Amino acid sequence: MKSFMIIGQYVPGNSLIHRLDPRTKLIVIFTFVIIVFFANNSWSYGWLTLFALILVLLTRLRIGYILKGITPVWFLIFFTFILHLIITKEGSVLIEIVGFTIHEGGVLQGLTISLRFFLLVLVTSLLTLTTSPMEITDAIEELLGPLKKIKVPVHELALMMSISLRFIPTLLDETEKISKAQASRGVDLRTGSIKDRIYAIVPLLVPLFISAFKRAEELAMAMEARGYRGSEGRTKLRQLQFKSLDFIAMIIYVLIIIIFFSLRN
Amino acid sequence: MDIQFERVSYTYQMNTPFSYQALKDINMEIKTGEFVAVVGHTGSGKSTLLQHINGLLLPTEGQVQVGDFQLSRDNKRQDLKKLREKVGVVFQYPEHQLFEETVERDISFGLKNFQIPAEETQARIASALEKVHLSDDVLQKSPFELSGGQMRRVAIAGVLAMDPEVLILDEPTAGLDPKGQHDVMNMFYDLHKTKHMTTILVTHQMNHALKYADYIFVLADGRVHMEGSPEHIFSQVESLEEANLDIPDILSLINQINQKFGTDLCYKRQKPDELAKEIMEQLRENKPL
Repeated sequence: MKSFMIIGQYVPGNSLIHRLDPRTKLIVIFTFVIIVFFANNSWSYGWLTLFALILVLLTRLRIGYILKGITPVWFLIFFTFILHLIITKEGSVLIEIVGFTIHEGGVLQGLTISLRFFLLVLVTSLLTLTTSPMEITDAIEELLGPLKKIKVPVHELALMMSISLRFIPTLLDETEKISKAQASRGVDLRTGSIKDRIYAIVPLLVPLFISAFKRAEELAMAMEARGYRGSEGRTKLRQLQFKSLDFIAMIIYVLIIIIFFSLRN
Repeated sequence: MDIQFERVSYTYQMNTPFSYQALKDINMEIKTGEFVAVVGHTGSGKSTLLQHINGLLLPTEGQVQVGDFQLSRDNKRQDLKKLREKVGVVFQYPEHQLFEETVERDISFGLKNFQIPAEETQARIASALEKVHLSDDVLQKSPFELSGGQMRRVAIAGVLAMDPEVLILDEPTAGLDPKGQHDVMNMFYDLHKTKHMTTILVTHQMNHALKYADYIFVLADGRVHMEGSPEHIFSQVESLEEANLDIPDILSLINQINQKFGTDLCYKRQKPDELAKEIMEQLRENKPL
């Protein structure tokens, strides 16, 4: 079950992208997500796609692995394409099949929207593929730091985030163990009516909840035993530091954006 | 049911950067009615191996034969349910799988899944409870108000109620106190003796392997490192050390005595008092230094 759960599973490495400060990556990806929506001709789309592909190459991860990692999203992308193909009725008619007409505008619209979608998913998954969850939460805490002045509990939010990220693999392991134990007692999640299958989840969920609550309690106890008192006066083991690599990356990125905007019409 | 592994390999998360080969070319044979121990260091592939016996994992290469069932890479799901009825598995910390409102319903959970007729259910529950030495008055309690040791017994009863022909035990004593460990192991050993149940014990406690097993497989790094009778296995101290395993306490005691006093004691499953007597007699004959 784990094999297709790799959307954004961190793969340790030492590529250029891995070594960037997580804040740099976060800023780039955040702005990229917005910029994708400004593309309006084939040149600007081409430019963004090229940028994304170069990023992929720079991570030194196997391309096949990354593409497989977004498998669940492929379906959505395909579905979006088909939907636009059928619904958009603009431009000249290309084909007519039993009453359905496919217009030129539909093909174009379908292609651009799915490309947009694909770029979004690809680039954001690159962030999580090359950045450990801890780094991401640290970066978010740093970037949201100014909000502390208006009493937003930034540290607590970041802590909640890192704890939940930390426990995802643990809970997945636990789920697998319990489902194997129940499978050995004859539970079958793969066959039977829908009603049967929903009932078959109960023996999985109850033990999972019990162990999650137990873990939460133990974790709270362990944190208190080690003197955790919230964010005030707390220092950090890993200080984030912008390096020359980050400045270079930022300058190149800004150039790319400027070129992008000049390519639009 | 005879169990046979033929050139079995298993790789987790094939074709990803995380792929990891846990079993490498395993060949083994377990005969009906045997008590077999599978020992090995953490990460040697013990747990992966046992999950092949009831089809939770299918080999990525080779095949596993359990009675009439053949398990290989392209197996159909339907057959597996029948297999799982005959091969009961007690997982590590089995109490984590309890979920029903009452002990009775939890024990009968497996019976319902395998469509055991309702009129047989009560008798099965009663006999399972008796096997794990619990009294009837826990039946209507919630499993979560019992003590840890009792919860484990309830979970084990849930497996035994299915009347399996093969019983697989994955570290069944983990987290129990010494008395609890002793009781649980003796209970499984009695079941093995009286019902002639094929029992496969996965453990890292060499003492248990020596005490109960007829035959031992030592796994190291996903391969069968050694196999043989307990006497044979534990006489090869160096080879055991390669697999990061110790020899049982009682054997290291005997070896030490033999070395220090030049005696020739050997272990034949004596009880502690019998062994003490033997030591005394030998020391008397040998006239200690």
